Amino acid sequence: MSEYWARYWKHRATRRRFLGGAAAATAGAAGLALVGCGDDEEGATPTAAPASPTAAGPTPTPTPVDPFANAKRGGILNVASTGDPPTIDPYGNLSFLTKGFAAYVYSRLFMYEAGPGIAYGENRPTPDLAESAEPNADGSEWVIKLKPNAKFHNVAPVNGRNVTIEDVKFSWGRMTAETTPNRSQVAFVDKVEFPDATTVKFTLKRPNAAFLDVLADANLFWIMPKEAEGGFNPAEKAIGSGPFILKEYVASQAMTFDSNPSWHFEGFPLIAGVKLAIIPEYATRLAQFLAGNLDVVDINPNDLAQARDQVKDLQLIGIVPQLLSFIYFDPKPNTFWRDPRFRRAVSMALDRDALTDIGYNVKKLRDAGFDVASPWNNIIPAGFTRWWLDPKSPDMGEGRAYFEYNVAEAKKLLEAVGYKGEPIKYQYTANRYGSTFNNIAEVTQAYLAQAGINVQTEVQDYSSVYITQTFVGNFDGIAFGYETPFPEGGSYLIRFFTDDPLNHGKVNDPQLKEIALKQQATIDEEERRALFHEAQKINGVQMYYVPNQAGAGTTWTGIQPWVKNAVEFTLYNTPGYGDPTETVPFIWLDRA
Amino acid sequence: MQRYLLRRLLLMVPTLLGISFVVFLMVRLVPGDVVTLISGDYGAADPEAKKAILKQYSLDQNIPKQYALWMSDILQGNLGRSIISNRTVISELQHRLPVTFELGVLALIVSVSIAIPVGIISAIRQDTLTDYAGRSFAIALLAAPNFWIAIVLITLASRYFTWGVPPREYIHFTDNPIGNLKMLAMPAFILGGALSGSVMRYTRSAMLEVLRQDYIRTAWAKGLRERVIIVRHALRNALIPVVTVIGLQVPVVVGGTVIIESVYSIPGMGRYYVSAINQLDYPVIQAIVLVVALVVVFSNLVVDMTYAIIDPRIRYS
Amino acid sequence: MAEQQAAAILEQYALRPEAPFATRLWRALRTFVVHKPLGTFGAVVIVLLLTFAAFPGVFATHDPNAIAPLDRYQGPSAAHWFGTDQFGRDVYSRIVYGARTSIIIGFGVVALSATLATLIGVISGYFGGWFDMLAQRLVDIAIALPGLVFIILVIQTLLDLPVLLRLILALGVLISFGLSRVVRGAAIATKQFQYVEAARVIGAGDLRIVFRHILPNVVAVVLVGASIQVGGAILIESSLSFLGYGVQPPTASWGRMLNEAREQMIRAPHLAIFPGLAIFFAVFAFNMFGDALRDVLDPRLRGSR
Repeated sequence: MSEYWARYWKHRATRRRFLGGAAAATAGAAGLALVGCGDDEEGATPTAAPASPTAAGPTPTPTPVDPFANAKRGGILNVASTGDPPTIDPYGNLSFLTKGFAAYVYSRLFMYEAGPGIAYGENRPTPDLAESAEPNADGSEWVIKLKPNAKFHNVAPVNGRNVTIEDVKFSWGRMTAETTPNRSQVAFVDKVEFPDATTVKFTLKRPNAAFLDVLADANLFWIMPKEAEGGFNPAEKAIGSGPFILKEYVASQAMTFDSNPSWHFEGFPLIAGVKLAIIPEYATRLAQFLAGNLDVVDINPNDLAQARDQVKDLQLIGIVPQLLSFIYFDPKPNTFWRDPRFRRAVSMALDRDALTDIGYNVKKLRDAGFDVASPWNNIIPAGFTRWWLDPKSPDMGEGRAYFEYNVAEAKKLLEAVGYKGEPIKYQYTANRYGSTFNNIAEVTQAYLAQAGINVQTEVQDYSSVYITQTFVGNFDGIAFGYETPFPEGGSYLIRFFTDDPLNHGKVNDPQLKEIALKQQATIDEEERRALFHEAQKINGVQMYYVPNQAGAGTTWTGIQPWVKNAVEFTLYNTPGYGDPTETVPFIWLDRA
Repeated sequence: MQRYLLRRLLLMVPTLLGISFVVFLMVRLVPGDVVTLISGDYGAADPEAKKAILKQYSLDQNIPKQYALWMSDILQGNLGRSIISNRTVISELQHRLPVTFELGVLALIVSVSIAIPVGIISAIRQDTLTDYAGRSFAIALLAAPNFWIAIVLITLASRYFTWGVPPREYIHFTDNPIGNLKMLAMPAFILGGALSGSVMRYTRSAMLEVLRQDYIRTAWAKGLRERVIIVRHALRNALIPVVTVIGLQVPVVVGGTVIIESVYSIPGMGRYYVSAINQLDYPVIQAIVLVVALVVVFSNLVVDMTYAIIDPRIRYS
Repeated sequence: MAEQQAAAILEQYALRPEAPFATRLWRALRTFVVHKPLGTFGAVVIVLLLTFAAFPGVFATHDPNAIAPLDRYQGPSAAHWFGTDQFGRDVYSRIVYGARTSIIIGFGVVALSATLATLIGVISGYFGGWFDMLAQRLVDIAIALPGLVFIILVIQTLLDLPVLLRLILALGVLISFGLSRVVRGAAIATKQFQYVEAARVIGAGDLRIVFRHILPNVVAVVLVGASIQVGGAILIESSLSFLGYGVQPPTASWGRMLNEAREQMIRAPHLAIFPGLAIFFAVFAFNMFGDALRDVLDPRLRGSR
């Protein structure tokens, strides 16, 4: 077992491997100081690599092309953000804007690996501030060694000193403080000990197969210097050990980052800095990109054709994000949806292909020559290729029929249940998730009505009604929303089917509960995947939660032609919000 | 005169106090709270965390106590700390306020420059084609939703004339006055144009009223030229109510900059104010309302002072 | 002889029987049209909007909520006069149905604000005293208060009422404060007139004076101010939709349509053009009509004609 763990994270091609190759082949090319990493750690052949049934990307074998040959140093990357981070203190707010900012400036113990050959969804945890992780026999104890020479930014009062155990201890204290709302995510850690100056030992209450993912989760454990309490205010100043140093932040306007010359991945970042402009309006962002003022932008699927026409040699990254939208039902007794037939009818009322087309413009894009994926979400979102079971696959068994668009059958089921058109409340929030979600929510209502379900739409304010009441199961009728985008797949099952307070529909199916708990402790990848598939099969039949298509289409990032390595490293597109650490340092600019 | 000024200044105090109290209550009456937003998805299930955060920001005290705490802070010059960003409100506002202020002033200048000439000409040539054209123009500016114009312009710019795309970031006046004014020209025009409609209307009706007065008729009879009559006699009196209307535009400007700031990525207070409202960031909302009320009340005072200076009858009432 | 001549002239002009009501109305209308073409244009548009609002089914070509995923983002054509939106819905039909929302908001806000403003303004202006002082301080506060917080408060709190009603309530109350100032001014001015004093001398009670003398003079002012505010209310509703408040799907409202069109400006400009034009014409019409009304009703402003 221990051998599996050792191989699990070691086998992944680390960055150093590429650097070793590059140094040999292109010594002196453009003055790159890539030599000197000295690490000859060879990855074992990936025998433990998961062979998921719908594997998209190739398994990481050394690619023949070195991504850093001909790399030029310097230049400023111009990007835009949709808003100010509510706070720049990583533990101050759960917003993705705060976490995304943190990823420029701070480090975690582990991060997700991106690079040539690693497709979105195939990313695995790789060491960031950690040097190694040794589990014990059953994975309930983890010994993590810190990199001995990682330094903080050279900014007062921290002044570039080494990252020590004291800082890890301090940060863990902040992670588990009473005022940190998501500390429940690490509640399974029993105790944390610091046996010596470079070692952290985590003891877990029960084995967790995904512990390294927890450490790599950009929502969770950021390492801050201990001066953040008393020496400086992390809400006003940001001092971390990440690849970029925050030089200036003018509120509502822009952030300026300088590359950190002493980042613990020597030789990186390749660029000189990042300029992050705050542009809330999508049309304005796109206009700036088309005019050449921005290097990276999120492109709505309906604007792709025009972007391609207007920007010569436009680079595009299209991914299916790991985002699950689903319909859920209130937990009250004596309702129509106590009967699974009603829930199945709801699922069969949805034309998933049409919904995907409305949200992601599939048909027109394919006609225009774009490679668009349009998978169907299951209770595990389609972007999670590692665990996702395609609802169209025969392995779904009986549940497969319930994903099909079949209005006649839906009507029959409704009649069988005794539903005669009584009004049912249909609620969602429209001021949180963006226009794609809002569109699909609106059209879903039309489909439900078409099948004969008398829906009374109620659009709810996110902060005052939806997140406080509906999301926790305090509602009447049918609700529709996104799930929190967990980087770790097991979290979905835990939240949906166990006694988690955020079990939205208060679902209590003993079989599913058992599977949810079991997968967390199952170490073997194949076994674990079988459990995931089983859970998706069972939910397919019971339809406790009805998966919908928002989040299942391809989302696009447009990149200017002079940003090199962007596509290989899936710039700004790794799961979670850690991409500023995981991708930005490895691209380079060639403004000719 | 001095007594009038003194009386007005004294009256400002209860007004401001009243505003601060009303706003204090109003934001707390809105359902939902900032702590929920901070805790997000997870907070819904973790009441301990919410209690701890409430305590951290003294939100768990009863309302009169919170008000007293806040008032004592204000009187010491401490505008408080944003709950969301944990930075002082002053630091949040110090960059944004001048921007909105500049945009507002420019908009008012544009509005007055359009409205007064158009209003005067419309009044002089009442019910002629010139009148219709002038009024239509002014009302047209008012009737078109300003965000619509803004987005149309930006979209056309990006598609057809890339020089029209606004600069990616805001250029501060202190860094580059010309660049700054060029950037703000379009938004100021859109905002000011919308305001000019009502000012024009008041100018026109005030002018019409003045033109019917006996002393004007005397001037005609005396044989004075039209220009002399208008400029020397009519204008002064007609402008009095107009000054009032301009004063009334100030609160409109403050609230109305939000959308333009969003569309043109102008880092002003309007945008910040709306986002604070959305997030129920009490200290920020209260502070901004107080600042705005101060500006409004003060500008009303200035307007009334101008009134009193121009029209001696008012001073002695 | 002179007496006969005088009687004949009197009969011809001063003592002639008044024309029947219909004729007088017709003549007044004709004068209005001839002398106030802009106002007439405004009135025509308003009548058109009212008709749309009352009988949308007659004018719309499609069901405004019918989703047609295959026909999305089509430009204006014979089948869809104004094109289709992101769901394939017919834009023209949605604009026709949207007129109803705009009219309801516009008139609702005006009715509420006019009533409140008259109440506050007349009582404050006519009775004066400590009530006036207090009321005016409150009005000061209300005017200086940024309205957005108040609007959001009303919209989020009174959840039992339909959204439209909440909007009308919020906007109506807000506008009534500024309007009450104007009413108060008119009430005070009227109070000074000699016939009011005369009425009091002969023993008319306060209430009678208010209803018979003050109110009629105030009504004109209120009417004009209010008719112009309709346009403002429609604009505010569209701004609120832009910010995320306001009417909720799937109700068609011009402001919402404009808001939804925001992101699509680059790929489907027609989605923003038509709702924008609709709002523009409605606001323009109400303003022009209100202006013309003021010109006609305010004796001080009647021109040389």
